Amino acid sequence: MPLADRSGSAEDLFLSQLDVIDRVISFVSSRHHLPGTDADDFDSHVKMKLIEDDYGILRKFEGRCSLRTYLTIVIQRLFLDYRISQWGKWRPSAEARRCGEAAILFERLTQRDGYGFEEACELMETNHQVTLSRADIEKIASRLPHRVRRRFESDAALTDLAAEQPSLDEVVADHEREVTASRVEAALNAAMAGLDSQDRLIFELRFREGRTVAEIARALRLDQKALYRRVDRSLASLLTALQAAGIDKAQALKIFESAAVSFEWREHTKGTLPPGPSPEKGEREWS
Amino acid sequence: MELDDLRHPDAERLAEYADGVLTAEARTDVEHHLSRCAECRAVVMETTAFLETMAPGRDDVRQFTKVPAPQRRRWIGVAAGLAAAAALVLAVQVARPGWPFGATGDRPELQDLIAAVASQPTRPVEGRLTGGFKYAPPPSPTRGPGDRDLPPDVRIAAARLEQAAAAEPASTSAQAAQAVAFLVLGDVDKAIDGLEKVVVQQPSNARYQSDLAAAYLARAKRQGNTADWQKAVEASGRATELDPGLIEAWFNRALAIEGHASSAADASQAWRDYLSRDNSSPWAREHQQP
Repeated sequence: MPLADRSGSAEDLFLSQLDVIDRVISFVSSRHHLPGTDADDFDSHVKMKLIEDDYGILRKFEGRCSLRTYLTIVIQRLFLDYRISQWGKWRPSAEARRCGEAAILFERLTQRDGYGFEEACELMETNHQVTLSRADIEKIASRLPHRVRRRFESDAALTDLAAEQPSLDEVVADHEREVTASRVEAALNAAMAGLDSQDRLIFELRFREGRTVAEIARALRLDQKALYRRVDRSLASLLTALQAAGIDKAQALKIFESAAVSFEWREHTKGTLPPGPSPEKGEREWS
Repeated sequence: MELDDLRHPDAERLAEYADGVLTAEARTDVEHHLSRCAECRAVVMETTAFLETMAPGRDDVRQFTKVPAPQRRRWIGVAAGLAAAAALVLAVQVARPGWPFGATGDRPELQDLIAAVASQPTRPVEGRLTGGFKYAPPPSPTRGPGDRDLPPDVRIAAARLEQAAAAEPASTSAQAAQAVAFLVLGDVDKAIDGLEKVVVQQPSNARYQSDLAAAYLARAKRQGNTADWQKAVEASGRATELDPGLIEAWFNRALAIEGHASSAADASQAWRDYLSRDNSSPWAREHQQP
């Protein structure tokens, strides 16, 4: 029975869970390296959302799971909203997502905000409490794709500007990369289609997002040792499928290990994806 | 399921998945979605990571939270609220001798609310509430009761006072604090109703009389009802008689006499009465002649 049917209890529930709410907010802020002011903003954002509509989010809770887990899910979703409101339309690259939060932060500072490498390192350390060494950040930087920032120039400036022409070698190399990427993408799509939902999920988590086997095992409630073997088997079968499609083993391994070929096999489905989930609602897929 | 049909499961369904309480079939459905939705995937993975950080046993994350019986929960809430308030007062007194927010920090039950309101750009009402509320400029006279855009901290502090009052219906101080919370939230009628009852129970409490005067002033300002000006004059007058050292009451009295359209001389005298007791605080500067 929703809490809405128990008059007055949503506010009591909120107050009784404030400690958990604060802990989740603190966890999320720390995980995503939010600096102090942003962390405060996020704290207010979450509490306001939980309070608004007469504690509507809490009133929707039906008690089918732990309230703590429910609140954690809600706050994690609120973070996605908050990040969109802060970042606008900017999105981290697939490789940055794969490398983790520090890489996303570095990419945001350098690509979106226009800071140089040294400035970004400084900001990461002082404002975001990232404790990586310069060498580690350099390693991250070398993996990230280079994006050219858009900027506006006056007509007069453009008249005097020589057109930038890539060299013939660069054109050929770019073309080869594109051809390889599209072959890989098609082969990978076909191979992935043969996996069941859980294998596909494991694959996404392991290779697309760089999660450890231990993390995946915990989240999916699977035996860790068995999961290692399962990942190896899935990887082997995918490699076989890719080789059958004419992609040699070295090329195929490169897909999983480096950013040279972007791992974006679902790009074509973008238009069919729904908007992001709302914090508590989502649309019920299964009634 | 086709990708076109992809929709997000609700938060509770994802929480059920994270808690491991779904049937095998439902679990497969969720995993099917997760394999295609990076956002939900991130939410579930981060939730699992958070739950891992909670010490098992001490605060078992897998135990379902049941809504406790109201009476028990409220007592716990009250105890926790009072402990928190006491800790806050103690911490502030240790750190800074003398209450930092105003003249008197003598109502511990209000201190969470006072601390939350302290970050606001304007004070809740034009009158002066007792308990040590920090000075801030008066609220805009054009803003109605529903216009107040209050931050969560203020709402949470007010909700705690409401909870404490529900748990202790016989406690005059809890009822008075709840009424002040209503005033801060902009519900002047409820505030006046609560404070009038409290004043009947404890007519000799100058602080309650003074807060009631501040509430009448707020309604008089908002609705222009002359009877409220008169009531504010009377309540603040009673407060100054009961406790001539209560600076907030003198402030409210001056405001009430000024608004009641008595003679200009009466208003000037009322402000002189106030300024003779406080001539240097920001409250005083607000009404000092240039």
